[in-house]
Amino acid sequence: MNVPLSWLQDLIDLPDSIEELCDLLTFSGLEVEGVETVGSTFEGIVVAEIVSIRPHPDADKLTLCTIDFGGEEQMEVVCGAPNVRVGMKTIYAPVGTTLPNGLKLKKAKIRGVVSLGMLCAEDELGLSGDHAGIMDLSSELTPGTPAVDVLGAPETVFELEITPNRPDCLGVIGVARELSALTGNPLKLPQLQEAGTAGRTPFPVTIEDAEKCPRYTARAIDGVTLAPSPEWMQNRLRLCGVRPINNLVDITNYVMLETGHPLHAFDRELLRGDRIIVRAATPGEAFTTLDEREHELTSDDLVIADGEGAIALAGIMGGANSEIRETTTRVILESAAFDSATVRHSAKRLDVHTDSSYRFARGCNIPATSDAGQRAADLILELAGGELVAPVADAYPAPQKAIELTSTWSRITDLIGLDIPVGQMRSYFERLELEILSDDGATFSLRVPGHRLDLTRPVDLVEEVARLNGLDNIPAPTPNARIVHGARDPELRMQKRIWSHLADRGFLETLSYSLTSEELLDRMDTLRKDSRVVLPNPISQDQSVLRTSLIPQLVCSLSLNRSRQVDALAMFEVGKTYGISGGEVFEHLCIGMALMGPTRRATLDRQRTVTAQEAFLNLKGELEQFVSLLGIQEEITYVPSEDPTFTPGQGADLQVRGNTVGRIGLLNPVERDAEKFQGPVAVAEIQLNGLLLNHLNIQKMSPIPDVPSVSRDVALIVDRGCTHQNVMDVVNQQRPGDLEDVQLFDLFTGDKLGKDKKSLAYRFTYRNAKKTLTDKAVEKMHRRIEDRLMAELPATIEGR
Amino acid sequence: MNLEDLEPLTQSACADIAQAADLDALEAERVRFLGRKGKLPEIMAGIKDVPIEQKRDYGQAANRFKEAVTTALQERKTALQRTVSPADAIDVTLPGTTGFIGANHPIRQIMVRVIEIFDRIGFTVATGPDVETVFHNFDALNTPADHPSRDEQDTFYLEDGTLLRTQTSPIQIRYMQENPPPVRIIAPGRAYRRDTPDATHTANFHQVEGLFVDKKVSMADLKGDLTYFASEVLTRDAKVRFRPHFFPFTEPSVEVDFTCHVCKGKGCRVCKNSGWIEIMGAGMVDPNVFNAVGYDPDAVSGYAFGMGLERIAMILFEIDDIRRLYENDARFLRQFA
Repeated sequence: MNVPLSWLQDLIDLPDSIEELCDLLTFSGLEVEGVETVGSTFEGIVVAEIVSIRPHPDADKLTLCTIDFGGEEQMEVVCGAPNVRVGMKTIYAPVGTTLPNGLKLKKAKIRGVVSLGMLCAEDELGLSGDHAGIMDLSSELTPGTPAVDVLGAPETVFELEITPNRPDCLGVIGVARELSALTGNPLKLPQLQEAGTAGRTPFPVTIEDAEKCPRYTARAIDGVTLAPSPEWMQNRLRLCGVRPINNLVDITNYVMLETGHPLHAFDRELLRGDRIIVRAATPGEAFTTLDEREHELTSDDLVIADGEGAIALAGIMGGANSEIRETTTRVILESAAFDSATVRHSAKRLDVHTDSSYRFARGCNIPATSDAGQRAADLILELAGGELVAPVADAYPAPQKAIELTSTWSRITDLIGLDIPVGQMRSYFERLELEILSDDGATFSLRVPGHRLDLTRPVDLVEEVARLNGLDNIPAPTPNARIVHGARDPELRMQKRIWSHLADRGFLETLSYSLTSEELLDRMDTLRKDSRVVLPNPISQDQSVLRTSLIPQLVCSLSLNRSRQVDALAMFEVGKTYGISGGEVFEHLCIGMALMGPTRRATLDRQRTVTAQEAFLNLKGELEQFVSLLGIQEEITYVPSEDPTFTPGQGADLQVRGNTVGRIGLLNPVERDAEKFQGPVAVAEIQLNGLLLNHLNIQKMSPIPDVPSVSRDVALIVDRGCTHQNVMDVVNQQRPGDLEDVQLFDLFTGDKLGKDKKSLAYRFTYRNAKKTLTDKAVEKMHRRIEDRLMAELPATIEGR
Repeated sequence: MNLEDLEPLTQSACADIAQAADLDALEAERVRFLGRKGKLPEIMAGIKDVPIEQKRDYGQAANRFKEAVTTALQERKTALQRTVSPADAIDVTLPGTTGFIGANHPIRQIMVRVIEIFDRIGFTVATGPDVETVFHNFDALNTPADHPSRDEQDTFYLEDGTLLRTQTSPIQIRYMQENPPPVRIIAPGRAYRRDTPDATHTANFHQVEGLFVDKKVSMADLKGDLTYFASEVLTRDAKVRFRPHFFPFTEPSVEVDFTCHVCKGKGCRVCKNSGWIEIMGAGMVDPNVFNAVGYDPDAVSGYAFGMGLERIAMILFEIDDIRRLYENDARFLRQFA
């Protein structure tokens, strides 16, 4: 909300320093978001009269105006405004002066004619954005009068952020009242006249729904003269961002800005049946607001009606059918209280947002309803003439009782954490117009004034004391680092290891949005299509579904970097994936990894093409390290995967005790080509739920053998389709207790072996913890394993 | 071979060995003198032709030959090993074998930093689901039934009426429902708002929520704990400033400024000359929140605070556009290694 300093100064004596004032406001809770200086001192800029006009010799749209600006000589200036006329009084900025927008005027040639200074439009003077023509001032002004005398002194305007709990500060008086509480300076409120007693009966007002309209006052004024409102009022409206219209409308707006209470004026001649009824709209009722928009109402909307139909949307906007017109002389002035939720819902549904609806939606001071009407009536009589022709109509079916709160002083000081003397707190309440009703030194009760809608519970009083006492005075003791018994976060501790482990392994951690596009998931995560959680109200299709996997976005991140000339990159993300099953949404904490290019190669070996197997094994190696971090390396098995994300035959599911916990593979060639990757892209994902607590298991020490081991190497020639796992399965079937380790150390394929064969070379290590094994004993065990491998895989072994 | 030839032979062998230019030449000398077909076997074979009375001297001379040559070889080898061989010199300026440097995401770094700072003063980490109920996200947090933040304009609702949490505060509610006081938790997580992305907004962002509930927790405790946090996260000896504000779930509510880490409070471009940086919202837990989770608001009090990690990352690392944090450009991410 914009609050001009001069307006505040009418209501209260204030410190001179703008900075001090800003701090006062900000630290009381009315945050100053900006301070603007509107207008200027207009140094050297004066009123001028256009004496004569002649066309510019070279330009149709320009004129040469001879002006009298109070000097001894007249001056000729070039002017482009369409509204110039002889005898017009306007504003002249001579050469050497500086306009409020910073433009310094110099002698200039415009289309070959020398122009000495310029005639100014409102925007050039910083008064508004209006550039329709030069200013057209009152003909009574004398040329040479300083512009500042006509246009007003520069104004300081505070831009305040009013939090939704403080609707009382949506009026200048409310802000002044706050400043009064903060400074102790008294508030100087405008004096209200006695309500008129003329006439016999009040204007007839009926409230049909007192829940939605707890109070409605109407004042009848006859004999008003419609005219522009005075310059001072127009200036203030403009400073607050309200467009001046005519004196009646301007006065209702002015009083709204002053008191925070919105008002409305009807042309009485247009009221059919000469009465007002406040009622719910009938379902389907059509109504045209004064901005000429047609609305179809529901019974949730509240309308002001005359004898025949709606004339205003209560608290939001008047109707075109009862609007103040140029011929208006008789006025019904409404000052009412409307239910905030009703106004908020109607304004939102009908999409009509006004200064009035904004205020009513936050709540209004019901007891002060009539005062706001009286203030407006006073101004109308003063500025537009006329007289009150009837007593005030004040429909107030259930007068609101003031809120009384009871609390203890210690409750306040305990919550603030600072001992504030009771007398001090009492004085704060008094300055805030909170009337203390009783106080035994420990417990007190007080009455809340009508404008403080936010004070409804004892706890609400804490902030009042805290801010009046100064939030800066609250101490900041050294933390009391207490341990809460039983509070543990072991999963987080494992996550921290995971985050740093992969960064240490050379992976860049990415973060992608939880929301992604269905199109992307259709391309790279089709298996989980049926469990997608799709948003009914997305902002865009790009972010319309919760991700079911981390892999698609990781591929996109690699792709983005590839397009920026990065050829080798390892990335990972730890984050949630989402899905729905049996109507229940589930969330899985996952880790995704992705590699492209020769990331694991020696520096001097990076030009060589990365093969599919190399890419796969690079990432699998990382995965193996990772699962050993999780403590599940013994339990995990890799099973060929059917997932269409992967190239057929180049993907695996990770299983732990028969449950699939993840997958690894090479991105399928369709998507690889679509993203223009030059080589294989390896991706993997593991669900971490349930795998984060193994680090709590305590590892007991195993004895370190001091007996030497014996090794045997063997090269198995097997079918191409035979896997390492097939070999290990045979070995493990009847694994001798003394077989300590089996390591694959070579994989060979080549013409020598034949197209459908390959050679797998293993080193078998034997050891007995108690005694040194003899060659003979080893030979016997090893021979038996070789025999089984040859028979069951089947395999051939050279030399056997 | 005669006895009198052995001494000159020993001397010339040692002289030759001392001349060996490199290890290969030295090896050739070794083979020449000590190899299977070298001088030493020849000498040893020659003993049979030596007259009997000379055999003892001959044997001793042969041994001297062997010892002298062996010593000379060893000496020359050590000498050669101690001199630079241009052929074996390594270009020590070559890049190392593992050239890829990883990094944690700047948001993650801030998150870890925040968690660790609060860990030191007794906070444990709590988490909760991203998909939340209206009760946990709004009702229990004292959000009025028709509060604008509940609008479909601002919040992502799912088909079943649940929603993507708009803040990490529902974690407080869940934690308090499951644990009796005292409570001292920090809750990092993602939050969602229907903001159209621009330089300072994304629909998806990260928050950290803090909550401390016990007997007689006060605003002073809040200020003290946050002052410690401010000094650890931004700049040493930082101060904390409260400005009154309004949030439905705290009463009183404050916005919290920290001393600007760039100018240490003197005023600069980063803090727009105020000396302060707005970091978070905070306040004393509203009694209605305690009522919603079954705590007795007359028996306990508490403070809560919440901050946006993107905002802190942007301030600390001087990042110009929030969307960079989600673009995953390696050139950006690597800067924070």
